[in-house]
Amino acid sequence: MRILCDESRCIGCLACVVSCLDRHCDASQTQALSPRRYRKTVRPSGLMQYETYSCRHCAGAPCIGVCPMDALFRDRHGFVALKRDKCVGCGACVRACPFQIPQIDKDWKMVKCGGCGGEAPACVSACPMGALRMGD
Amino acid sequence: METSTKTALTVCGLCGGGCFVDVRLDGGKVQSVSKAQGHPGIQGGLCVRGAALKTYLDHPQRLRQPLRRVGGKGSGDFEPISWEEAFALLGERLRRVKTESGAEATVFYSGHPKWYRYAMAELAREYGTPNYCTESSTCHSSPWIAYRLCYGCAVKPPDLKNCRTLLCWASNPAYSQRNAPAVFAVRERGGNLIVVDPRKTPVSERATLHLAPRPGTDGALALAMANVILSEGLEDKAFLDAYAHGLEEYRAYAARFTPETAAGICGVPAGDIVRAARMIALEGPMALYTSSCGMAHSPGSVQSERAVFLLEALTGNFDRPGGNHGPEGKTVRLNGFQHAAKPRVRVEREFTQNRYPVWNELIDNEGQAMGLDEAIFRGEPYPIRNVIAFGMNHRMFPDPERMRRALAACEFYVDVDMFMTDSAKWADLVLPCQMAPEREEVHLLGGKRVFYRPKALPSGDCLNDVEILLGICRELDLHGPVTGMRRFEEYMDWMLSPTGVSLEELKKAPEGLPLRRWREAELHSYRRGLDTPTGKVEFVSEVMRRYAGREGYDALPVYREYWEKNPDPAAYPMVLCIGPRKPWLFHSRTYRLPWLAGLEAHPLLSISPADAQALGTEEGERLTVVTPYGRMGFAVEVTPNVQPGMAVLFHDDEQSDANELVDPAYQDPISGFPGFRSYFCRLEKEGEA
Repeated sequence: MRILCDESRCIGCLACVVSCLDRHCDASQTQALSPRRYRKTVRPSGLMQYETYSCRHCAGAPCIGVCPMDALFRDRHGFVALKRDKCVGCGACVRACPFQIPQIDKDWKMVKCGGCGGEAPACVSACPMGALRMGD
Repeated sequence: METSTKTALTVCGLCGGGCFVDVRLDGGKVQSVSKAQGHPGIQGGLCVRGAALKTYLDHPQRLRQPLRRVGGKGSGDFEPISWEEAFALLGERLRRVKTESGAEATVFYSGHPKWYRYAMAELAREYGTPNYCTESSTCHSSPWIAYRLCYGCAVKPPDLKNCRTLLCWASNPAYSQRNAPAVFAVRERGGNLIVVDPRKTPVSERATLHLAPRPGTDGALALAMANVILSEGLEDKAFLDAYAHGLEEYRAYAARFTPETAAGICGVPAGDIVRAARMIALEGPMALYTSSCGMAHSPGSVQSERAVFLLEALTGNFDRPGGNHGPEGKTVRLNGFQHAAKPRVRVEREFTQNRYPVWNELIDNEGQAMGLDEAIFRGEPYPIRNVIAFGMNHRMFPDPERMRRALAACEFYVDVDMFMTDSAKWADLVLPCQMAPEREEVHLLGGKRVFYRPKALPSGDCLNDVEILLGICRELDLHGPVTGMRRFEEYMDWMLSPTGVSLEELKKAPEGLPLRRWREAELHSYRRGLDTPTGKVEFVSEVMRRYAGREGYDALPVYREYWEKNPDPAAYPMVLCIGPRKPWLFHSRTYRLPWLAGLEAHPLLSISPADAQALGTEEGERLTVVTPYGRMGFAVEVTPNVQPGMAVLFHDDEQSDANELVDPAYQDPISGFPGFRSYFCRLEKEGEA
């Protein structure tokens, strides 16, 4: 299970990125990194726009195996989740991930999508275009 | 912790959209926000800006109490005072200045918010000053004037549900107005979407046809489309025979704009112009989707907008189903922006001295604020001694620094705001107002319902804008229908009164109540006669004809080439276009919110790959933008969304405000709107001269 984006509906507004911050961070965390990531891309039409992406919660996720602190695990919903207090920000997961998903924040903790822990994902409900859904 | 959380329905208020949202609260603080859901009759909404709502509400720079300046102007040295002291100070100033210099020495000004404007206009009227103006001085008044010149009424919205062809002109509903799903739906149901936009956008990407004119040439493009329609006999002859005035003169003028001529002016292929013209004429009903500023920030804006708006009549889509019609039910007062206040008093004494006479004829309830800085500096036609502003943003004006200095030079300047903005910093008195979730309000909903929402959050010592205005009215001992009110409840009751529903009963109905009185949307209003001098659709404006001889005041929607105003085309070969929207920015308001302002570097200068190559620059390098009025450095973004020859910037950035680069004298002569979106520039590598 992961967040899927219908690129034909996405307008690159980044509502998913900010709603993810809203769900997971306090307003005082001004430097927070959003687990929902984004990058500029030129679409087939020639339009440059942000595309958004986040953890694929891969079967056999390499990040889980490489974490020296055993901070990453698969939770009961099937998402790859982080035990934040165990994380030391070593970056092993960053190097192991084939999709450039994990980021290390200023507190030396890894940041990535945890699937909203079984709740309705913030990004899906925030998308004004209905472009996002949770699926396989 | 879970036990103390609850969800409340409220309004975001971060921009002017007024979207209903649900906020999850914990101990009076917002934990998260989502689109309002599950409330009968309420349509929720959330965008990227609204998703950052809690960082806005809970911002460390929020104003929490009235502040009086004690140090020098702009020193930031303020002392907290009580509301009683603040109102007493305001009352004393307003009474004294009126006695000594006349009521016109006081200017009332409203920034972006709309909901309290009726009360402010009433206060200005009863105090006796004609000088009531708003941010509509650079927003919406231009299309308002243009539409009234053609049709004698407010701009009629597009019938998105029933049109077969949607002509989306100088508007990007993907980035503002939340209408992208409805616009895209036109395509999804097999209709046509024509987009006129100099940039590539998510909307142009989905278009049947994208016309990308050079900024500021909309008038020539619209005239060429009209010429195709008229010369091929595709116009709605029955409608025009009965309801058009001046069609033959217009036909003769439009004939000068062949598709090839317009292609040369606009940079749009002639074939595309022909195709677009045929599509709107033959594949109707056609609805026109425009915006408040897209075309307006150019020195020929009103005439260009007239030419574009007249395409509605030419194709028989004015005030018809599937075309442009509505809006509904505006007899109610629940949207202070829609419901016009009464005309200003003593207009002959306004500080602009009737510099914009067509504005004054067609917009009788507020004045153009452009030139306020000049009036303050020169003391002409009389000294302006008080500026009473709600949400002043000097960055809205061309050469904002000059406006900032003028405000600082004014004897007494008050700003009501939510933050100590860099406009408020220069005030003598700064008053804290509530944000939308902190106030109670009555709303008009779709489905002919009214709705009362209580405060979702405590408001501390902040008052709402109407309470502040009524406090001033009390100090001045005013007793008009609105100015005589002393409590906000009275104001809400008065807003509701045309609907036949009282506040008391509405407060007891958490899901709202149906309206008892309602004016149905009228269609085919032209059959009764329009509110133009001839009662018809004016292709030749009889209002404008009265000002024949004034530059730019042609009775026909004449296209004038703005490039001729370029003092040195060799030195300034590019078009500077300031203000195209980004989803996460809202004028100056979101720069203080790191979750939004931090999404990308700002300000960014967007240029085409071709220009980047010609300049030998790349993404992230710095370039200096040089205009006839100033120079400023920016980081470069290279993007195929921008056409060659065009430099695009977002406005109002405190670090480098692009509006500083525009000469205030470069404006539309009819509306006074600044030419932010079609100015002249060249780009230099930083350090080179």
